[in-house]
Amino acid sequence: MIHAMPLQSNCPQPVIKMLSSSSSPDIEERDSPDMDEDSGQKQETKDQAPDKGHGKYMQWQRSDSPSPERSANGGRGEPAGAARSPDRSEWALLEPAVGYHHSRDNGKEDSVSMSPPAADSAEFRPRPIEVDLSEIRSLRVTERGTLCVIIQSDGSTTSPLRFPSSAHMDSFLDMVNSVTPIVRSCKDKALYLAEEQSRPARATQGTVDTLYGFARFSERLVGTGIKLVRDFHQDPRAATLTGIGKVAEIVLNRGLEDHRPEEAIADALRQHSFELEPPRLQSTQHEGFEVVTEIRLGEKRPVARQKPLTQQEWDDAHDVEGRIPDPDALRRRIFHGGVEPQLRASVWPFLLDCERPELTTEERRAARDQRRDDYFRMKLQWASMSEKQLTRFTGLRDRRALVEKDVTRTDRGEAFFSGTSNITLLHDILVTYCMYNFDLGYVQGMSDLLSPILFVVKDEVDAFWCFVGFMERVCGNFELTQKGMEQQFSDLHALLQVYDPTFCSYLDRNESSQMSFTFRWLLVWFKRELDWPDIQRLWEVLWTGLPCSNFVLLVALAVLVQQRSTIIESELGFSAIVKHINDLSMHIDLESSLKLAETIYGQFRDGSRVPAPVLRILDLPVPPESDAGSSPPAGSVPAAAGADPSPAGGQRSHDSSVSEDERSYEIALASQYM
Amino acid sequence: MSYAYLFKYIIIGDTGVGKSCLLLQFTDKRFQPVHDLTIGVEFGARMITIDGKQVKLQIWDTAGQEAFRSITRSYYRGAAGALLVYDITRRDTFNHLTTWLEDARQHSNSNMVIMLIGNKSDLESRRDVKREEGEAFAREHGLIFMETSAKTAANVEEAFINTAKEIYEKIQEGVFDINNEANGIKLGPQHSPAAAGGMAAGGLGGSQGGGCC
Repeated sequence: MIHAMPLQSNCPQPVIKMLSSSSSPDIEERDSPDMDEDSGQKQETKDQAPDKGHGKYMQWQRSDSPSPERSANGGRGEPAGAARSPDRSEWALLEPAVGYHHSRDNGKEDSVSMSPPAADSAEFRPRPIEVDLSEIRSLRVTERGTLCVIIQSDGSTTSPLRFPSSAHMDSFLDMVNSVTPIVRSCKDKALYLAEEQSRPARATQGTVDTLYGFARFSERLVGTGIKLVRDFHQDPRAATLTGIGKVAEIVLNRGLEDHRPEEAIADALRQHSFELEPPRLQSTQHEGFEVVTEIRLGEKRPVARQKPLTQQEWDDAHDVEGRIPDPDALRRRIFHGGVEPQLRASVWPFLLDCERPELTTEERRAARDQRRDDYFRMKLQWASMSEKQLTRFTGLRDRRALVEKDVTRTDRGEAFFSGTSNITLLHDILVTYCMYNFDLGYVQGMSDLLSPILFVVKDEVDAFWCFVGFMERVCGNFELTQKGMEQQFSDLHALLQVYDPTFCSYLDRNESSQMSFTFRWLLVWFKRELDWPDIQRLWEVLWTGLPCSNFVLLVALAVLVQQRSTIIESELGFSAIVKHINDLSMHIDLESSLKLAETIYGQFRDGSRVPAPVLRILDLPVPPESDAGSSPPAGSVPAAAGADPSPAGGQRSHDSSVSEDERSYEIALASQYM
Repeated sequence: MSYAYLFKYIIIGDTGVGKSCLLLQFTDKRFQPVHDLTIGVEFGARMITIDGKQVKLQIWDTAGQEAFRSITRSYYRGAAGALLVYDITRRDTFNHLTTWLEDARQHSNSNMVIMLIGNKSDLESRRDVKREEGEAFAREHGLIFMETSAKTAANVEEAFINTAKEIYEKIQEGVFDINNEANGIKLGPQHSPAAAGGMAAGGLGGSQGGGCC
């Protein structure tokens, strides 16, 4: 799930603090004694009361972050925890691996998205995750009850919180429940919804305790929870620590009980939930009447991913003279598995149309020399300009200035770009690209697309031409008019409307029909959402152009529909949706999203009466009479592979025959995505 | 009883004027010259205290390059306050204020409070836009004005908080309809519309907890 940052060791551990802060400003300045040792779980001490208003807060601190003080303390052999830092202004990112995204702040609230320090990260301390209990909208519990993500009313979404076992999770949920009543969603078993008095009752009439099984579970825990809360008002620290000790004890006792009330309740609930598939309707306006047809998608077939392409396979793909006789087979192979990392420098130029498969080794060498000459010729064009000349060439001067500014804020968290020499290469390649494509020039986001390429191919000239190949596919994203982006938003909306009309209509009702919350996903192909290894994997898969040139939209659709029940049931509105989607950054499971995207492609391909504009988005053949609503030929083949170099945001007609039906269906596709 | 109000802010202005740094200085009290450039939107939040009430600021930090104007426009929706930032060492960022302002006015609700900010006031030696020019522009367009330094933190708190005060006053005057979220103002989770007007933070001591002043 998070590669640069293995979950197991890095997720915040379930050290739960509930803080009732009627804090005065100077509390922030207070230094507290170190921690207790009295509970069964590791404890981290909070060194300051949060600077907030009233309310119940929970807090997690990371237990893996380097902290000299804690290490010195021993801390029971646990990884060191969030350190007390005398200079609290210097709290660190929660997720150093993240780069630009990041983190919960210290005394404030919520999160701020920022980049990590490039060099001196040692100075920064991890910040705790804090959640205002009254702000909780929902909790998503996954991985057999060991992982929990908390979604707040403004869409803020925590990093996954790892619990050692589902029993710990249960006690955690109980504790939350004792303060902010939660119910388990009947549509998505992984989701627990906060019941607020201000919000209308949920789909079922069940009350908090029956739904959650809380009352049956443990009277004692209720007592503990309440006491805990009361004590917080008096002495938050002591109450927390003893409270957790008690919870731990109950968890231990509970292990002996063999009945799991929640399960029983959940079963009962399932019987009551009426999970009907909503019809996918397409309406076509004719003169005087409307034709409504039902779209049927193909069966949902799980797909498997393969292992990455190996050196042996790559060698075997070449003939004795160095040609690649069957480039399409190679692309298919890469689509299904990606490429082993050490092979990327050789394979990427092929995927990015910079190495031509039909050339022999000899010819390839000559072509490479030619590219080298071309590159340095273009580089010389700008590098040889005098200052005076530049003053009368604002078009170039401004672009150079912007590139200069931006390369110093591109992936500085990656060791490869922490020094200056590779930053200079980024700069030179981007400015040379301005000369190569002066009409487009340099637009922000391009440096993000170049940096992984440069990191992989290492060579300035190769990186440039690979970048050119990438830009061929995505240049529409960077047009001044932003037409390419808008086209993709509208294509994505059209896909969603057919694939999940309920969710689509929810977004429409919440001012999100423009899909602009997917802007960053699509602009830089998830560069800001995935970690360094994953982004390389995703891009090489997408560069194959398989199974359609717009596969990135299906990846986006796959990631999005995995959020559908969270978004709908947490009742997130426009702002909260943007925030929630932003917070997914670094918490997207790439492999499962790729699988789902491929599965969805198959469903569209095998469907019947799928509207022609949607088929065109996916390069699928449009049956001649499709406008009349007939089904496409059975077993229609995927659109041919390949080398469709058209930019992802190319001009594609998208008419309005896609259903505009705004009816809302209360339904659970959700279970499909769990 | 966490906060009484939530205000949505948006930070706009040319690329490289220091929008993200202002935000980080305000939310984290630190200056980080090296950070990744903003694509789309990033978020920050902080609690402040105004008139004894807890106010949560949710701040949307946007990308400044011209090509992204259209996406930025979609973020104005429901903003109660905007910080329009230029760089006092780069005149072009000042010259572009008019177009930014047009955008802001056109795509936000008419009551949105706009604070004009001349950032990088620590770079006095490289100053390219006089303070008086900023003041004049603000006066002419009815904006609040401040020069700030995200690096030294000078005026950063004030910029965000004064904007909030302005919004708060508008609420008191009844200009903002607090029950309409399109205005960028939300009542706190436990503050029912009925209760919000009169009761404030009554009954709970220690409401001075804001980290601001």
